[in-house]
Amino acid sequence: MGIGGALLFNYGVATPDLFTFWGDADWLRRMDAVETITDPLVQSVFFYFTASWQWIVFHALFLLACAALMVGWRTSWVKWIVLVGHLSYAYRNPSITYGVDAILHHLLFILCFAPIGRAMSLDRVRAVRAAKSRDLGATLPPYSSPWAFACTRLMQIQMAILFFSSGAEKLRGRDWWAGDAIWNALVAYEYSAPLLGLFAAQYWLIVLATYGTVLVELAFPFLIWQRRTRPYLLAAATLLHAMIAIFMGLFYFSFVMIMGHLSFVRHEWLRRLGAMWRRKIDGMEMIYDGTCGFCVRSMAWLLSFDGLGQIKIRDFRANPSPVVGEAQLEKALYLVLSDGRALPGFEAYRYVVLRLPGLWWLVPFFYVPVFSRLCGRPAYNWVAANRSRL
Amino acid sequence: MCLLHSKPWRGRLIYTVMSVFVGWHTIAILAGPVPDVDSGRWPRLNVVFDAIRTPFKPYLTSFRLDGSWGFFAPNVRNSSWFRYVVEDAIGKRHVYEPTMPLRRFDPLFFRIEHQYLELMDYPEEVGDSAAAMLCRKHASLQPVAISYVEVKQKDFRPDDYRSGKGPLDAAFVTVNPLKRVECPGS
Repeated sequence: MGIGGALLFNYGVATPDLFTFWGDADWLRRMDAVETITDPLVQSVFFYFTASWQWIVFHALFLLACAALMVGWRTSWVKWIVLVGHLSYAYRNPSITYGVDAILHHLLFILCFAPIGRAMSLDRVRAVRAAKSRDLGATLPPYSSPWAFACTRLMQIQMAILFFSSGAEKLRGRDWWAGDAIWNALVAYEYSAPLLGLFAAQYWLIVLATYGTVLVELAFPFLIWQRRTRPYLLAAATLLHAMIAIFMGLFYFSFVMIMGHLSFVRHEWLRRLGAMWRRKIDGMEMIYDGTCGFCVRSMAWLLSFDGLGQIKIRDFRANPSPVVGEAQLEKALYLVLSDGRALPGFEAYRYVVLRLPGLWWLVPFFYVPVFSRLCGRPAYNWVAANRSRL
Repeated sequence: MCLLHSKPWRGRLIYTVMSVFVGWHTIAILAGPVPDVDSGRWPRLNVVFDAIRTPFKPYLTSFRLDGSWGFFAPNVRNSSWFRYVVEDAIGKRHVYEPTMPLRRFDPLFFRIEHQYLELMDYPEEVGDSAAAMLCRKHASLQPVAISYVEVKQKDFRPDDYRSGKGPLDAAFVTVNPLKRVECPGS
């Protein structure tokens, strides 16, 4: 999700410069690029394009593939388009690639071999929805595969090697031994960092940051594998990248690195986090009309986003609710909370989208002050009144 | 029943393929970024490194996995930025610093900066095509020639900052003219 989002953002913002960077006439003419390449394994689809529309179509296809990868739609083949595209852009004009592109190549390559899209993705939602459409009570077991484990391990090894290489290379430099490296980076025109006055006055902060960076980079590949030390190393690496983002403005680089570090997050941590969230958000019961096909389909859709299993369901036709009367339920779906409150229709959905992590993407639509309720309530009421015809 | 379709054998086969892939890829990404060492002190070591790298080279190149990871290492080099001067038909000189107006957190900043760094590093190789592009870009000025200039930062210490100076002040940069290219058809 993060890698797809990063690529979409990176190449999306470069769209106005498509022909400048990778086109046929501007910085690096296509024939010049092809002539400079001596290795036949260096390939780019751009080497074979001759008309402008081909660039535009490929770029649009690539951006769509990145968007699909981000949301986890058809990931099993979309990831290959993204890999081919990313390689093609890089080899067409290697001079404009930099560190973060290389990191993305590595992570993307591993993702292509991984069974991605089996959790927290639109593909997973589609699979759950298909099962729920047949039987709302159906559950799909969480996906597990040795390939997923192997690819996660490869990503971890990749991040460890990256940190170790970076740390070891720094040991060869005078700037890092002298404790001046971070200062030299901050005064570079690219970064011209904020708080330079503070760092000039309190230079020990610079020295500490310089040695701290090398220490984290060298310790990471050794201590990240131990159960006890992993949380600290992960926190240190994340802090390091947060500082790089804040003080050097390298948000994109830091984001991609943190995405890579997420491969070290243990499943049990996520499970504990999910359980904590479930404890915090009390049980919610959705009461729906089981004789209405549209209502059942809507419930299947809603439940497919409920990865933590927070919502219980009740068909009031088969199993009447002790809290909400049948007459009310004829008019709208209800959400009953553990404290006995019952929220009808639009308000029920509004409550749920904030509490189901899988539906957070809908929060902006449901929580626009005044506007959401002004449009949402009548829209819901119309759908509820006409549900038998939908 | 075919042996490969029996469950234990299929499982073992997948496990073996997976292990080989993990092992192969790990050695490849370890071998890829190993830097060459001082050949005077360790004459045979580079030969050994090359021997290790060679079988992985096609794999690393095909998927562009051959990058190294020396971020800001071994030293943080003094930055350079690119300046170009457009000479127009009446001899007036127009100075541009294309990366300066960009904010450093602009995602295009580093792409554009790297493109100009390439131009500064190889003005003879890419200077002509870049000049043609810049001449087209500034066609309204009726350009006659484009001159490339490298502006390089010098060392800037905390004491300099405390004495009220800035890292981009004229005293802390050197200006190196690189190449002058006439616009096509001028």
